Amino acid sequence: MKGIISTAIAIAVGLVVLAGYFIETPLLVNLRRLLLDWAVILAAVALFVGLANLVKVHSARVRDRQKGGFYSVVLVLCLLATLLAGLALRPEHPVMAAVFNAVQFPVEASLMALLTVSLVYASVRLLRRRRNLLSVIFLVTAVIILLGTAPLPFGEIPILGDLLRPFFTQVLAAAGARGILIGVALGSLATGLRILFGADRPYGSR
Amino acid sequence: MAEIACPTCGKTNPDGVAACQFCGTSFQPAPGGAAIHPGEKPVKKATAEFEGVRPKPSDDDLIRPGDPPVKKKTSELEQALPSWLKNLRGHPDQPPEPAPDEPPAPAPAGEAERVEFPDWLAGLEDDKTRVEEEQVPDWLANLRGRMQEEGEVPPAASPPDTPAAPAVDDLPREEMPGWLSRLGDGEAVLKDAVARPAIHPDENARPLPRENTSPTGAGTDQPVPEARLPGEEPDWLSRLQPEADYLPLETAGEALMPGGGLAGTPTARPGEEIPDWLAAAAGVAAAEGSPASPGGPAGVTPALIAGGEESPARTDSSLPLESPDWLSTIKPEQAPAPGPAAETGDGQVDGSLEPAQLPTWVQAMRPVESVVAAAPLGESEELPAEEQGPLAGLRGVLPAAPGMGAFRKPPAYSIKLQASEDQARNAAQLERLVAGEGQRSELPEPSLLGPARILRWVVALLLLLAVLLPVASGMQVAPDLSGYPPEMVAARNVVQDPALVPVNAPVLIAFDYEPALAGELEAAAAPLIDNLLFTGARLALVSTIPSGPALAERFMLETQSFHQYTGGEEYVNLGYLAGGPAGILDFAIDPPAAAPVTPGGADAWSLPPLAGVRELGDFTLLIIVTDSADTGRAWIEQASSHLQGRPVLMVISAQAEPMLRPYYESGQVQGLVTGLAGGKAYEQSIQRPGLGTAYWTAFSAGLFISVLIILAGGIWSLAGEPGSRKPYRVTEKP
Amino acid sequence: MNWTTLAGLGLVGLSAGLMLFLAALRRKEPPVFRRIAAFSRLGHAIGRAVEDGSRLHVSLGSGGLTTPQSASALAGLTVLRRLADLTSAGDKPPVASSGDGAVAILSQDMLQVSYQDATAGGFYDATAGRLAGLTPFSYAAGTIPIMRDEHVSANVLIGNFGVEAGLLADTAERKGSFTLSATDNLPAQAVLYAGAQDPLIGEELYAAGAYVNAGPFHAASLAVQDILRWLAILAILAGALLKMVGLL
Repeated sequence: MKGIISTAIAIAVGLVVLAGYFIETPLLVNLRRLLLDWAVILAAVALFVGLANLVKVHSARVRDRQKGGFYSVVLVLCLLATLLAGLALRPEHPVMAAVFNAVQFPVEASLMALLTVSLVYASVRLLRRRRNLLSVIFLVTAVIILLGTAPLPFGEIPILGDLLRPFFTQVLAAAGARGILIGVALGSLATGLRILFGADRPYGSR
Repeated sequence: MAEIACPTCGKTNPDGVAACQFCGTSFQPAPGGAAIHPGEKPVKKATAEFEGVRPKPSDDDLIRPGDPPVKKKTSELEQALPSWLKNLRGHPDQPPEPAPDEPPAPAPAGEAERVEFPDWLAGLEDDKTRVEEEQVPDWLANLRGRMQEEGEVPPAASPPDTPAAPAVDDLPREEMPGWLSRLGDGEAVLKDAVARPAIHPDENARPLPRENTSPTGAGTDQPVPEARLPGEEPDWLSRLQPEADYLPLETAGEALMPGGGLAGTPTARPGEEIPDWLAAAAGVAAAEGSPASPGGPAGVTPALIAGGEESPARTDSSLPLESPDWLSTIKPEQAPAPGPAAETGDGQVDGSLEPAQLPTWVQAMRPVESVVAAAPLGESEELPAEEQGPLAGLRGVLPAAPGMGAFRKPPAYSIKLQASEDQARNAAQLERLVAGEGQRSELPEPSLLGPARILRWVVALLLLLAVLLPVASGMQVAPDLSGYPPEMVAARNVVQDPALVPVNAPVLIAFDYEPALAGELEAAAAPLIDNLLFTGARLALVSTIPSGPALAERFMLETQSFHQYTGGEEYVNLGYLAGGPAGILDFAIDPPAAAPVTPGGADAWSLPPLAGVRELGDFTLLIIVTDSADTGRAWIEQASSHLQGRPVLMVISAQAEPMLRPYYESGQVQGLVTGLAGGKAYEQSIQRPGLGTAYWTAFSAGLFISVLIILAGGIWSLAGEPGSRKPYRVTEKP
Repeated sequence: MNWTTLAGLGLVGLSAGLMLFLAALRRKEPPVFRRIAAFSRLGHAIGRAVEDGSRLHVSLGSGGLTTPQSASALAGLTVLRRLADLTSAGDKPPVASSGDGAVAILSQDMLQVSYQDATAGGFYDATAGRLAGLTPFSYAAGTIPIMRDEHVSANVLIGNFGVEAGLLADTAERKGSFTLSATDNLPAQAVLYAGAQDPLIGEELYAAGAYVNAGPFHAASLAVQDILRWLAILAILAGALLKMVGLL
């Protein structure tokens, strides 16, 4: 019974929002906006549910003395401290800004730097992992783009920066990206229709 | 020659015989009706019809379990004897002519010593008186007389009332019975008999052939040949092979006829005892002498089982009335040389008998020794010889029929498990796997100094050196840009156009990038915003990602400190717009409703920076700073229709350029600043060095080192072995 | 209602009709797809995970349900449900990580229903579906310990990932575990092509449901996408031609 109700609600809401985009009558538009607002609110609430789940997972790890339990302790404490400080001091408070600038910003920036090393390492091993023509083309294109992005310490390479790089980025890459985006859009359309038909029930219904 | 298959044993018999030669089953139709044919419905008959078949046993005759055995005289069983057996005991009438294929009449026994017959033959003694009373044929009487005259039979040993049997040759032909006259053909008959395979008596042990005799026994009317005393036995009979393992059934029965003496001396099979009566009879035959045959007892060779040897014809008067064909073919001149004489009671040795011609059916039942001792068997030598059992040495004794293969001892199978080496090895491995199932095995830790780890460190070290050295030393090695991207120039022109962006105009800036890419986008957006702030623009900062407001504050504090913009005075932070594109659309439709307050909780639309702004179109410029093509596209798609023709500029990451550049080329975006290079170019164009200039040398060196590493690794990968470390070596199915 | 709105409505209607028709048709005839090696290897990896008692990790990305990237998240949830059914006989249940709260809740629902269908409801762990982080890189930072410390032998990265997916692929390679990655983000596809073992390029992400036999509608969706793709190609070529001749 629960599955039937949730499926019916999902199909009805989806049809209303879809119709509200195409048929701009005040009723449908207002209903669409109302439902979207509800969705945003639910997403925010779901964020808190996710946070609760996060705390539960790491608490269980601490309780069971699993590997990495110390880091789980740090995570839970920091989460609670930041949450309480933000609720008390509000996000624009200098303390909150300092926490963001001192913790989150450098951590994510460091991860990005780490990603740079990983990408260079992966590029080095690409031909050992997957030796084919596409991999060779991939690496050659990456080299051309890198060399054409900025002048080299010893000077610019004329053809690379003025001709090849613009051609690769503005023609080849753009065309390929456009085609992939069209395909992604069609896939998104098909996925949405499966939800509207009730064929896909990601809300836990059998 | 037509043959009849016996319905009982299935063996073939010559056509015309009355009963089966092997099992004695009568071929005559059952009494009381016609013969029964296959497929016919059974006809119910009254059992009284069969009353004449055998005497109805009286109550006294019935044997009940637990009854003690009752000794009976064999004479009481006389009526159960077949007629031929009775006939062999002596009959005045001339025996009928036997048919060519008809089994000959029971072989007459030669004169034999009077022996004490066993109990079951005791009836024969009783019949002796009747025999004596019957008329003895003249020829038989003549034979007896001749023998007595010649002294072949000791007078004392012969019964007083036993007529001497004349010799065969002495008998006038017209007086001799037909069967006796044919004794001259004994050679051929004997050879034929030898060629036939003999049959083991035990396997074919069948009761004596039953004949359709009357309750009184038709055979009883026949004179019973009287027992012959030693010396009275014909020569041919005394030459019968003494060491036959067995005798053919009929001949065995014939040999045991009262008065007929023994056809030969049987040899006991291993483990068996020869009956006394049989041995005594054999001893008589051996005493009378007979040519020894190979393997047989010395001096006694039964004529009918001789292995190709011709037994001497005997012309004793004790021959039965119905003598077999083989007997008729025996000639006195064919008698072999006498062998060593066997000790007998009377010491007689007979060596003048000719080997008899055995009929085929008799030859088929000869024992082993007679076959082995015979002359070359001819065609039987080609057949395989039996190696075991009582038929050992005989060739072709058993037909090659299904189910009659060679007997061999069944192989002994060990109860122990027979496993090959491979099986034992696999079983041991399985045992180890099962035993190790519950054991915890730690996965091997990758070595700290593995080649992959070393390579990572080398790459990281090179990149760090390439980036940190220029920043730390402050050296500016990389040359400036020789040209400016047109999209960057267009963006600059929009900002510097007073018609598009007047002084102190409200400008909306969307900070939609992640903190991880803040380094690039801050360097790219800083010169443009810096250029904008020179016009005194009022800024409204908004973001569709949760960390956007914080990044916006950081951007204003870190990069635009020159202009000393203060939040709430010169710019307003509208905070986070939830819902993604839906939130953008809501904001585009009604900005105050979508973002009513600042993150601090103040009313944003009452603050001085947003004075007079109530719609999206009230903003003179929209600047989108994003690292994601999706976000930039969402802003363009959702907000551009509500901007009322206001220009849109984008500051994007280099990774999003291919997807967002078409919006610039289509005119939906009026300017584009792409990545660190775009920021450097903007700084260079307005001649205000900033983050771009500071990062330029490090950026260039890092790019160059990266290219070198990638090229070196690619060449090394092409030159080396592929797939040095595959996490999962999964073979693909074709 | 302008022509773009009409065109959009017509496109939606055409797609819906084709999908219904093809779904009814596919019920009778089994679909035939081109072979994608990544899904073949996925089957092997799942089998190994069940056999050796290791765990399957499904990462759904950081896309939210209220964004255009929700389609990739929904595709990932479908694959999660199917893989959970396949690994229900294993010793350890699969674990699902995501960067959005709503997607994390749905992943928990999927795992719970899968275990209930396998009559193994007692083995369901509510922490099997987790929120790993709220920003892309924090999500990657929260997912890496799952891949490294929870005895994971196969990773399925299917959803909306950014360039941070390169960190996940690198972790999987260090661990020696199988990785199948699919995202609708173009820069992430480039990163995963270089760093992952079996990347799916383009809209192969939306074909995952059909390749894991999630149902006839998934096969029909692939056919609808193919038909619409050809229509788009024809429309682009026609528009380019008309533009060249000056009619547009």
